[in-house]
Amino acid sequence: MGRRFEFVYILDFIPKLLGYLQITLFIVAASVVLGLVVGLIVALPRMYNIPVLKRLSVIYVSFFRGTPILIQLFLIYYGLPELLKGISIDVSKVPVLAFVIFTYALHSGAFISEAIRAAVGAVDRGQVEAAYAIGMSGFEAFTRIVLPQAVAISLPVFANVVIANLKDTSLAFTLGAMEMTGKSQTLGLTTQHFIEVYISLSLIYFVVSVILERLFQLAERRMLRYQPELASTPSRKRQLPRLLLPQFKKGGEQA
Amino acid sequence: MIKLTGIKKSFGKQEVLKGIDLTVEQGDVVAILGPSGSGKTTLLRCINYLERPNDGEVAIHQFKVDCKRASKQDIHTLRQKTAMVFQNYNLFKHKTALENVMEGLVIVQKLPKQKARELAVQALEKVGLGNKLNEYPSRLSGGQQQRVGIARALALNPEIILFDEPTSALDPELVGEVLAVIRKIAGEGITMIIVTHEMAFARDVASHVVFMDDGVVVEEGPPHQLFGTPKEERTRQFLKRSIQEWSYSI
Repeated sequence: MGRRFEFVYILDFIPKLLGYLQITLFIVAASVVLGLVVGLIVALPRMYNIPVLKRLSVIYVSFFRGTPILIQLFLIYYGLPELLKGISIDVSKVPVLAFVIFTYALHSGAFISEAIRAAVGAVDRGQVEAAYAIGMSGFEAFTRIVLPQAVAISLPVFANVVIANLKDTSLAFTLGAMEMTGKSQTLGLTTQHFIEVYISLSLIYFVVSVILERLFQLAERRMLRYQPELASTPSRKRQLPRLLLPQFKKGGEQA
Repeated sequence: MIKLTGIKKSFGKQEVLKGIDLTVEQGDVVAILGPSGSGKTTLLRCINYLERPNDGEVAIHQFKVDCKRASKQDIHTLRQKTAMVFQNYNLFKHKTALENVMEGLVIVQKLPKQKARELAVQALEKVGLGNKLNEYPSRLSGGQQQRVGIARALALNPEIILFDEPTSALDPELVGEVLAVIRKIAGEGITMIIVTHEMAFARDVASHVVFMDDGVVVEEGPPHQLFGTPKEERTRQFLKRSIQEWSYSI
């Protein structure tokens, strides 16, 4: 396959691919922000035990956690327009990117809703009672006492969702979305240097993942500063091996 | 004056409070004693509606709430007039000692931050934690955490402070510092109800002692009377058991 391996192509491809990094990051950011909204909405019926909606949210979560993201992409990209045609809405002009973001938002929303549910459950009931006892309303108690702690607790899971999402966006090229992986396909085809382009591509994903991982670690340390065992900054010696060997997990699975 | 009339509460089929009447005068320190499961804590939690009573009336001065018809606003007002100190402290873990005390002042009483801070510092100094203002609860001992809990209640300047077994979760060597703080604020004329297992403390500090068993008030009176010459057999039994427990030596 292709031409003889030439190292110089790796360096040559990196800047070309980097031009498309912003699209990849845009997909990640947009879908995670939407996913947060979706996740919160979906988590609420289960936290407050609302009969029918609770069922629906369970079905939604198990579907998006239990099917491959690639199939979800196909279902939404090819299936949704057909469905909408039935109620005479034409989405043929909607860009591919919108479908991609929509799918990833629903996908990460499922994981995020589980993370939110677990984290809210982890804030002990006693603190809520204390908030009520000093005269706070349910809303004040939730936003001022429960939510900040829940966000801090769910941050590691959230980080996993974001990083998993980053890597999953590479599948968007199957729909013809021109993000980094999509670009690597065309670069590979035109130059016939496939191995080099994939090496460049994986380098970029790797570095971006590590940077995200580090940022989340910093945020976590800051948000959990009220927990001494996490707040105390470990020495540089201990940090370094972790930087070199980041641990990637599929989002939300340990929640 | 706090007046409870005919308070009843059931959890499912189990009737935990079977119609409790209790009057607490201004400046009283009322100790509620009784075996576990007698409904002491539930009664306390009914006063600020952490448990909703099934029947009865809670009155704080002129403000009366019929438990069957209590509105959200009624409950809110009751909670603003009362403060509670919990067995497990229940401090806000993501806030410092100072922020814990300021929270109610700023969010509920809507005081300006500067004023709230002043009051919070005063309250923390009163419980002997003037040097721990910016510590998070996780860095404080149990006794210190409970003292922050007391400062949080105190700063709100409530009509009454409800203490729910404030020393039960503490290591024995930390009980003293918390009791000393409660004793100190009791001496300042703050009205309080204390659910406790500390007999000696109840005898020394309380102005009125209530003995509860099985969802009813069995006997009440001034401490010298209740501890010295209890009228009811159940009270005698309970005191005998509790006093024997103290005399164990290791």
